[in-house]
Amino acid sequence: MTDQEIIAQLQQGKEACLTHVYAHLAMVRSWILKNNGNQEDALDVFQDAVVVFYKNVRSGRYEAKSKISTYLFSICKKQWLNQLNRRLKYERPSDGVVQLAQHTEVPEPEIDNDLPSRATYIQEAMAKLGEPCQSLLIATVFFKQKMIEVAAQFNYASAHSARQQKLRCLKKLGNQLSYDVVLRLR
Amino acid sequence: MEENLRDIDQIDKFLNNELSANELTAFHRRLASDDEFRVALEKYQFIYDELPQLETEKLKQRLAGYHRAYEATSAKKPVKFRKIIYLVGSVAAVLCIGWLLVFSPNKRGQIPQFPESETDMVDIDSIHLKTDSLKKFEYASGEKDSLQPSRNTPVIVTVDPDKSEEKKDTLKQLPTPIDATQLALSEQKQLSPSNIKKINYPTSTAYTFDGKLLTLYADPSKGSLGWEVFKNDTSYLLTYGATQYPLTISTRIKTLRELSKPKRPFQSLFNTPLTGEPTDEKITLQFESHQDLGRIDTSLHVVIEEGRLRKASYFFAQKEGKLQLILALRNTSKDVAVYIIYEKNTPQYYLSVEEKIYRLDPTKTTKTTVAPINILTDKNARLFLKKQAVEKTVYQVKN
Repeated sequence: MTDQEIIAQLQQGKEACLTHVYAHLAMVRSWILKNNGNQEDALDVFQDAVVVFYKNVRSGRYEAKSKISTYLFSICKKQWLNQLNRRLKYERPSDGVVQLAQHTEVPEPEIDNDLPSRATYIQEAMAKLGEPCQSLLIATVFFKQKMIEVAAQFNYASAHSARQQKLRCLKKLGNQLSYDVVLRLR
Repeated sequence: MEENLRDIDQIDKFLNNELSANELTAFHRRLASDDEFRVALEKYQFIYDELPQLETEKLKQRLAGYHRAYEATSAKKPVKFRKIIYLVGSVAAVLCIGWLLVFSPNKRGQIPQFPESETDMVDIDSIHLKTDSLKKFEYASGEKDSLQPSRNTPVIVTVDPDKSEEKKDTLKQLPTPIDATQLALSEQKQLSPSNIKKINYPTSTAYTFDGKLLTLYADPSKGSLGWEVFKNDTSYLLTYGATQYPLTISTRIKTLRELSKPKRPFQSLFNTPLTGEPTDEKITLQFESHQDLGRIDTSLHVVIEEGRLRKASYFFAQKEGKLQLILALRNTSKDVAVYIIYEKNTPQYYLSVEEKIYRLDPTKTTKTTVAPINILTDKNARLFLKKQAVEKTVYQVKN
C-alpha cells in the first residue's frame, strides 16, 4: 500500500491501514536500540508517534511533504532524544533512580467509593449517546477534524450544519453529566 | 439546567481558543455574573479534558491490535521471500567474483603508477623544536585559519609530555555522540529571571491616578461596579462600599490605603454613608491585572525547550537544591512568564504564554500537558484578568 493510499484511507477514518505503518517500526527500533533504548522504549515511542501522525492526518495538520516513514522517524527521534536528555539530566548514572525533589511526596488520593473514575464516567456518558453523536464528537473533539471534512464524512449539507450537529451532540453529552459528580471528580 | 446552543457554541470556541479578544472579554464578564454559565463551562471543560484521554487510550489499544496483525503477516512473508533473496544474492556473488577475475586491477601491467613523493614532505627527524612554539600554537588554536600554515612557513611541531597528557584528559571529557546530538537538537534556553515573578496574595490594592484616569490593581474579588469616586474642593476620595480611600495624583504605582481615622475634609463623613451631588466630571476607572506588580523571584529556575506538540508541556525537577521548571513549547520565541502566587506562604505556579495563563502543578515530575486555567475554581486566576474600564461620575461631597 502506498503512502498516498494510506493517507487517503486515514482521512476517511479507515484506520485499519495503520497495520502497514508498522512496517517502519523496525527502522525506529534499530535506531533506538543503538541509542540506549530497549524494545519496549521503541514500541512506546513508535506508538505515540503513530497517534500523533494519525491525529495530524485527521485534523488536516499533516502535510505530505515527506514519506510517512520519514515523518514517523523524525517524531520518534525527537521524542526519544528528549527522553534521553531528561534521563541524562535527572537520573543518577550510578543507580538509575530519578532524583525527585525532596518535598515531592505525593499525597495519597482520597478515594470516594461511590464515585466512578473520570474515564469511566465519560465513557458511560458517551455510551449513552449512540450514533452519530459518538463518532461526531470523536471526530471533532478528539481528532479536531475540520468542519468541512466532518460535513463530507457524515453527509451534512454544509460545515455550518455539521457544527450545529456537533453542538447538539455536545449538549446531549453534557446532559448525561451531573455537575455535582464532575465537581467531586475534579 | 439546559444550556442553549449559542452558549455551548461560545464555550466550545473558548475551550478551543477560538474566541476573539472582544468575545473573550464578554465571555469572562458573563462568567463573572452568570452562575449557570459557569456550571456549563465546568461540564464542557470536563468533556474536553476527558474525551481525548479516553480516545487516546482506546486508539492505543487498537494500535496494539494492528501491530499484532502486522507481526503475524510479516512473520509469514520472509519464508516466501527468503528463497528469492538467497537466489538473487548467489547470482550477484557469482557475477562479482567473475568480474574480479576478468578485470582485476592487480594484474601485471595494470598497476597504477603514482608520482614520486613530493620533496616538501616533512621529515620528522629534521624538525627543529622551538621553546615558545607550543604557546603560539595554543593561542592560534581558537582561530581556524591560523591553524593552516602558509606554504612558505616551515611547520614546527613540539611535543610536551605534560601537555599531551592534558589533551588525553580532555578527550575523555568529550561528549558522547548521543550527548552531542541531544545538545544540538534540544535547543534549550533559560527563561530570564525578570520573567519569573512572585505575587503575594491577598494583595493590597494599588493605583495610579492622573486626575482623569484611575488605574486600579485591585483584589479581583471586588467587582468593578462597587467603586465610586468623590471629591471636595481639594482632594479625591475613592470608596468601595463603606470603605474609603484617599487618592493623590501619582504616576507611580501607590498602595491604596484605607482611611483609618477621621480627618479633614471627610471627618464628619466617616462611618456614615457618603453622599454627594453628581458633577459633570468623569473619571475612567481602569482595572489592571496584578502581573505588573510581581517582583522577581529567584527561587525557581526555568528552562525552555522546543516541544513538538501544539500544547505546551512541563515538569518540575530538583537540581542542585533548587526547584527547576522545564517547559516544552512549540514556539520558544513566544512571550513567556512564570508567576508564583504566594498565598499563606504556599507557592502556586502559573505560566503565561502570549497572554494565556495556565496553572502548573509543582508535584508533576514527569512530562505533563499544561491545563487551561479554571477561572471558576481558581480564585488566584482572577489576578490575571483584566476587567473592562468603566467611566465613573465624580460626586461632590456634601459638607
